[in-house]
Amino acid sequence: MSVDSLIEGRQASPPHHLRRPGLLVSLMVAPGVLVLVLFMILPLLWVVRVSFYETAQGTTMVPAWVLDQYVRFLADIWYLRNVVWLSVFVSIVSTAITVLLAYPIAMYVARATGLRRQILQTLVLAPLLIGLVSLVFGWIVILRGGGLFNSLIIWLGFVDAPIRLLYAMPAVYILLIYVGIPYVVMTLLDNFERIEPTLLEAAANAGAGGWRIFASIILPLTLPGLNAGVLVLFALNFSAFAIPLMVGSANTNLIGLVVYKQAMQLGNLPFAAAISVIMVAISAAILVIYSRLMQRFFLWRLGV
Amino acid sequence: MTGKKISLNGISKRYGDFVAVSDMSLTVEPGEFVSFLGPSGCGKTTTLRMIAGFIMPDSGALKIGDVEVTYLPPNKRDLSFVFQNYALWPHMTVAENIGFGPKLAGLSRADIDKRIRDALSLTALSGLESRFPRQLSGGQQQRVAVARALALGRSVLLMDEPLSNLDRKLRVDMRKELKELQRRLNITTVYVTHDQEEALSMSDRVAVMDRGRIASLAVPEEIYRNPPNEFVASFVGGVNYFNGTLRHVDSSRSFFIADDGLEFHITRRENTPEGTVRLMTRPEWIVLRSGEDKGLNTHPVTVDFIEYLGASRKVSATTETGRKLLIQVHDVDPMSIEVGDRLTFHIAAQNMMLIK
Repeated sequence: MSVDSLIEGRQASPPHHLRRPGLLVSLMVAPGVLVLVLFMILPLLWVVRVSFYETAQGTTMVPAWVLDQYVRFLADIWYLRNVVWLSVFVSIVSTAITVLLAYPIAMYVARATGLRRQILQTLVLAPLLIGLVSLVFGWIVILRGGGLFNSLIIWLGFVDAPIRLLYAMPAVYILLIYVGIPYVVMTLLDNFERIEPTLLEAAANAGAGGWRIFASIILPLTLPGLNAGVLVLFALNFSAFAIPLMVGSANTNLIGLVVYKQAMQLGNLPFAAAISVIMVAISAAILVIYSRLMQRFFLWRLGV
Repeated sequence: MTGKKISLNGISKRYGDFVAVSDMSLTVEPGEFVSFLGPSGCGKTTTLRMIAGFIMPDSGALKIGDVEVTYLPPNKRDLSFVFQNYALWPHMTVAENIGFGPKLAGLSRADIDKRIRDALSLTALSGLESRFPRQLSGGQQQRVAVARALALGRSVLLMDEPLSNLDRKLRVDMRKELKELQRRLNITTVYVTHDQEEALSMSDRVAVMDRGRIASLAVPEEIYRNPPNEFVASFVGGVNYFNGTLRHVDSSRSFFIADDGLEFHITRRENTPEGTVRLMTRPEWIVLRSGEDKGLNTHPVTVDFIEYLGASRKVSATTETGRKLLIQVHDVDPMSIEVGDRLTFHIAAQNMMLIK
């Protein structure tokens, strides 16, 4: 049967010169591997190692193999509620809102062609190109007490006095969402482009109207892109520290920010290291569970 | 399922300066199989997509049965469409692909299942219900596309080069199967192809299209044997042309002198004018004979080139008057032919056709 021969053909070993990387290829890859090991793997291993250290007089590191730092964090209900749970909640909510806003934008950009497409794509990417500090300053102008947003809603008569957005949770949400949108749009754009127009025509021919075509064909076929966007975004949002640091308050202690404060402001490296390890573990656990669910409920259909 | 009539009345479509379809009128009778045959860019697919509603015409009117559908959206038309790339939904199983339309039509679960079962057995796909399209061979995917179209239970079937992605053997098998299915279901069918063999073998009538217009609309034999113009003649097969002068001899015969002096007696047909005319003959209508042969419609020829095709040989030859001829010799012919052979060729009186 032709299917079987096809599958066999696909599994057949590649030509000899592709089977084993040659010396040249090894030499080309070597610098990258070296950089990765030196500046990524080793520091990470160091973080894990330090998380088992003891601390003396608050901040002095004492090499050891103890769980003190973990116990201090995990046994404290304040950390669990105001840091861990807050981070999980904020990152899930901001990721969900980002996806809802980014999806229609991606759909709109995907339909454009030529110069229009280039312009739209650049506009979408702009937040990533400008730099976070400039972005935050821009948003401060909009969000502060006498800023554009408050002036507008007072002028429109929705409220009498400025509402507090800046240096509070609303500003953290707004910036997480704002910075996250380009990531999701980019992963979705590629996905939208790969949908054959005839798939939509076939659905119309079968009797489907616009909404039905969207729900039954377009949405399912863009779930892989959406999924990729969600994974990146959740990981970014969960470990965010710059945004809560710049526009948040004492009540917006996301876990990444706590690591930053412990390490850079309080100088407690072992405690910061332990929280880092916990942060990565929680993030990884949530992403694995999420991926499994997506796989079980839908993605298996696409053979992904 | 009973077929409905399709009527196109002055349908036109242009893209900027490019006229894709120009004032096209055509009626496809209920249950009839009509092919649009032509080179790429001739407007055949555009016309089909306008019937389906994927493209709106600039002007003209389109009817399916007695219902005017010109500007109706595609999901409101009583027709089903088979795509060149099959357009199977990759996230749905075979059964889900086939059941999608019936489900949207609001059928009961039992009726949907029956539609799926019937469509699968019609296309010999039973047992593949729970496969995904990516797990099927090209031929199987093609069948699913047909099954999905049939399961919609519509009165008109539109097919856009449905066999062009299959290898030759499968393509030849499938065209017979498709034709039998179409005849059995009596569904009105419009079939787009650039393959003349496909069009001739499957269709009740063939519309040969050229630059947005129908160059000829007739039954396959007529299209092949008696094409109205050069475009049709050369698109559906090999051809030799003769310019010359025609004179009627009596009520059943005419006499033709080609402009290089070759003389032929040809069968006189109705409405054939006398005077300067253009005739054509197909390569396989010319018979090669040994060099000694003389007689009516027989002239000497020298073999220049031979292409062996298995079932036949394609011979290029030159007459004493310098005329190049294309001759197809079927393999039953025991005569061995070599390049440089001096032979004679013969064209039967009924095998020279007038062309405009």
